[in-house]
Amino acid sequence: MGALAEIVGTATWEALPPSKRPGHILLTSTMGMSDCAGYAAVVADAGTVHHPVGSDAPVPLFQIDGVRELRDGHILAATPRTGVVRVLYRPESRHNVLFATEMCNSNCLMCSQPPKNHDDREALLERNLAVLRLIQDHPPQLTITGGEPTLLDDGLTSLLSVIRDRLPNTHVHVLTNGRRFAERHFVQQVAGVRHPDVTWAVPLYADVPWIHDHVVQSDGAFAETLRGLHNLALWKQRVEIRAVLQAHTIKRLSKLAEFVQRNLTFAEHVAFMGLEHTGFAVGNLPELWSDPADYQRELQQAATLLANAGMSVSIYNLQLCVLDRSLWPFARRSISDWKNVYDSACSNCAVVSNCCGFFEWNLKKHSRVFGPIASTA
Amino acid sequence: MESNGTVVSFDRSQFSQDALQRAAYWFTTDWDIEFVPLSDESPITNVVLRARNDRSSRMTGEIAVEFRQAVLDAQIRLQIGRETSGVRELILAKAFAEAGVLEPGEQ
Amino acid sequence: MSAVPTRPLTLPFFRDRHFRDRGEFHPAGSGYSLLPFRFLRSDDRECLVNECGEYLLVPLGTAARIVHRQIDCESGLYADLCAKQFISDGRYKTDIDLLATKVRSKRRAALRPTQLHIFVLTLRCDHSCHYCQVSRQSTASHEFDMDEQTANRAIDVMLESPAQHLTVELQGGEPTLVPQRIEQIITAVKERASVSGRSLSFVVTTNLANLTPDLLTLFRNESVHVSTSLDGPAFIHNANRPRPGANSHDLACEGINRCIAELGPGSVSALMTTTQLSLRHPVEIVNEYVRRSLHTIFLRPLSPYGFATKTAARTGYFGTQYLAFFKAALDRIIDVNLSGYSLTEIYSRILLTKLLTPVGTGYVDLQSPAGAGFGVLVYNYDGDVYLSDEGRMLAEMGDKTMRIGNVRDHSRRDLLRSSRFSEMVEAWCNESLPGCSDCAFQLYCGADPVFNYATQGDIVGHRPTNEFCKRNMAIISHLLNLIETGGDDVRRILWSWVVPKAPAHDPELVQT
Repeated sequence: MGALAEIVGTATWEALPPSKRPGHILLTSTMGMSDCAGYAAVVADAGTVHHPVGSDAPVPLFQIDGVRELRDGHILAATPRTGVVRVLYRPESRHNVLFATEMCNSNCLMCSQPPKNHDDREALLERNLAVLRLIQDHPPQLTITGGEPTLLDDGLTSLLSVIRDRLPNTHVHVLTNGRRFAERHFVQQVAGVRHPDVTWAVPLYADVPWIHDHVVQSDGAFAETLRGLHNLALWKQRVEIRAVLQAHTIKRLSKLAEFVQRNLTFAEHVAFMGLEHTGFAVGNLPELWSDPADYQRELQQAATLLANAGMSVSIYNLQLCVLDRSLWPFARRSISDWKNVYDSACSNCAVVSNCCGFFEWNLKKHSRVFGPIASTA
Repeated sequence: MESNGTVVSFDRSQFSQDALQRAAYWFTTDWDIEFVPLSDESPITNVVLRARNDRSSRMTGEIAVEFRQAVLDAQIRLQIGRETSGVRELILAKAFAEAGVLEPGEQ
Repeated sequence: MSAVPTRPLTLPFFRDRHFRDRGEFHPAGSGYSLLPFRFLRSDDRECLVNECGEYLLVPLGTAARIVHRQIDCESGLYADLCAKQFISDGRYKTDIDLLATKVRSKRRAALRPTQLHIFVLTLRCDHSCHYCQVSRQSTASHEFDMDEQTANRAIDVMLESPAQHLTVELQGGEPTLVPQRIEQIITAVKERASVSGRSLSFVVTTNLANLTPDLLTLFRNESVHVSTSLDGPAFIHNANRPRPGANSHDLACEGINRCIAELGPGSVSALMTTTQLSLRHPVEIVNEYVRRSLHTIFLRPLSPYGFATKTAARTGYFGTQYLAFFKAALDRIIDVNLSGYSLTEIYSRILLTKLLTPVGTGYVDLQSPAGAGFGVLVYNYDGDVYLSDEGRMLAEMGDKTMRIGNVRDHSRRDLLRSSRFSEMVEAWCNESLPGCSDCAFQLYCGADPVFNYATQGDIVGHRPTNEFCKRNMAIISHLLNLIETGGDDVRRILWSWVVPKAPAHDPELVQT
């Protein structure tokens, strides 16, 4: 049953000789299923008429919309039970992600990937290891996210070890709440992998526990996260601090910056992130929404304080038109290339090529100062 | 009581001798300071301040307020010290312990 | 190579995804505990400073209200006090961990064994500076030169210090009058220190009037840093620092140029000593530094030692006048920076490092435990060892109280066990000095028992009249004020003195 739960393979539009077919998924927009034995699966266009496959060639067939968006080299996961085909890896993208689990020990008010209580760790670990086996190129970076990746326990150590061995030049960026790193033996275990290039990106939402704990909906989270961060530093791990810009965090943003500067000096980078209007953020938007036009002063104070102190600072997910010009040096093209879109108004903007654009789900609600910039003169 | 002195009275149950002395220390450049407890039974201590130079002679009007404020501050400091001496020792012990506080390397 | 996650999780993490509102996460409130802190009252506000040197400016009376549990736990002030560890909202553990880490970072620099070793190569000098702290001898008499044997013995004592990094400062009189000694010491130290794998820095303190090509070559080959005096434009410099020919300023400037040209721009730094004449010209002095392409300036007050005391009438020892001069000079320095020329004031940088960053500094004159004897040792031309340069200057005035021994007779261990040193220890931590023990600026300041002895007659000193105290309190207050009210540009500049390097930027930097 395990073998058929999910099929992971590398997409190919080109027909392959039989010896090369294992581990590959044939893509087709026409129907010519006569010679597909040996492929892991076939993915065809949903609108085409289906010819019956020979009874002695049981290759799973999937029919989906948008097969034409798939490319050679994409690594796909196809689930026979549901007929769903997912793209797990794109060699042409700079922003590939390994999804570790949907479970999480926090429940952030604005979580863009709402957690579920189903233990999917084993299945996803298998999937991710399968992907890693199939990667042929040398991606500059891989992000591990979830849910909460540290819930993988030994699985996280395995994942990092495999990446270390198979992709020695790939930087690994792990998005984690850091709370499990309060347990020293766990940090020791993970640090023991000795991966040469890992950064742990940990969110911190306030300089005081009651605000942070409220945002992540978990008592004691602030204390745990801080202890985790300090343990990471003890074990010489590289750390990045993230703060999502929403009403609860904006109020004391510059104090948060000062807190990071004084207490988390070892952090190599601080990222301020515009709110994603997806997941839990949608339901909680009334309490979370703050127009970027209204918090530029706070953001400026926070970013400048950290930059003055010699820390590397970035602003993610905020368009250049909503940012004060003094903050443009911190703005990054942060939205994954396969996720970002622009508003139709952006085609008239003088700086669109430097702007991160939008998440699709953010197009519905704009800042009151959103709009194309005529010129940078 | 001698002339030329400003008297500031303190209730010993509220202000310790330690606080009075610490406060007085900062006034010794310009003032002669004398502590005069009224009696063994009385909780009142009088502090007499006599101007020593031209500058302080001009300040005899304000000195009582200033000195009282200094004693209040000193008393607060002592209280902070009392309440925090234990945790301070803990912090310093942890700070200088051989292991466990941001030392590089494994445990 | 698959591994099944072994740790059983207590599921579900969240029974339902119902969101708890802000009111369910609240500060502990009136049950808060105090963490150690000090405070200082000024005219219009209080400055609170916590156990690791973080400060908070608050309205008058806040310290008392904190102690009397009158702070509203829903207020921004309450959150500030918790975040900066002035009070603990009941979660002691996190606070203690954070404070312990930061205290250690702060104190680390001060606890290193002796790093700075000053060798007085000769008392001879061609200048007769009014404020000179060394008895001048004519340039002919060699009896006041350090001989080779003494130098070697001093090196022996120095190398007994366990410090991983040693800074060797060659001074005088005028050390370039004995170039052979400079060469000998540098060569011997390099050879002998390499055995224990220690890193070295060499500094030569010189008036640059006798800079030969050979010396420049030596400095270049050995990466020697040159420290010189530039008191300002010629009319001030020459008035302060007479020499035959009255051309000290010309020679100093020529020397600075040659050093910059042949040793590199960062190879030479200058400091100025303030005299009565200097007091009237802060702007001109700063401008002179810019004119000479120098990027650091050290606004040093007149020290109360040596000739300063003897010629007090001419130089004068002053308090408030110096402060006014310092502020005016600092204003001018900031303006220079605002116009795009990088100029760091060194004394401010030391204090700003203590005020703004989690780390301490190694500057020996602002340390607790005092730098004297602990951070620095001075080996005089005759082998006598002093706790600090100021201690040596006292000896030149006839008071050998600060002499702790002689390199010919004593090892480093002997010296640090001398009765003089032990007495000094009584007064070298400002935590236990009257006046300092309660001071809010304790962590920014230091103890200077030698200064106290020289100016007030005992190593403890009388704080209310102590010039070291007055000067530092005023300068620290002034810097705090600048940080808080100076504006974004001023803050950026002050920070740039503390953190000179810009952070590395991501290659995806947005171009505007």
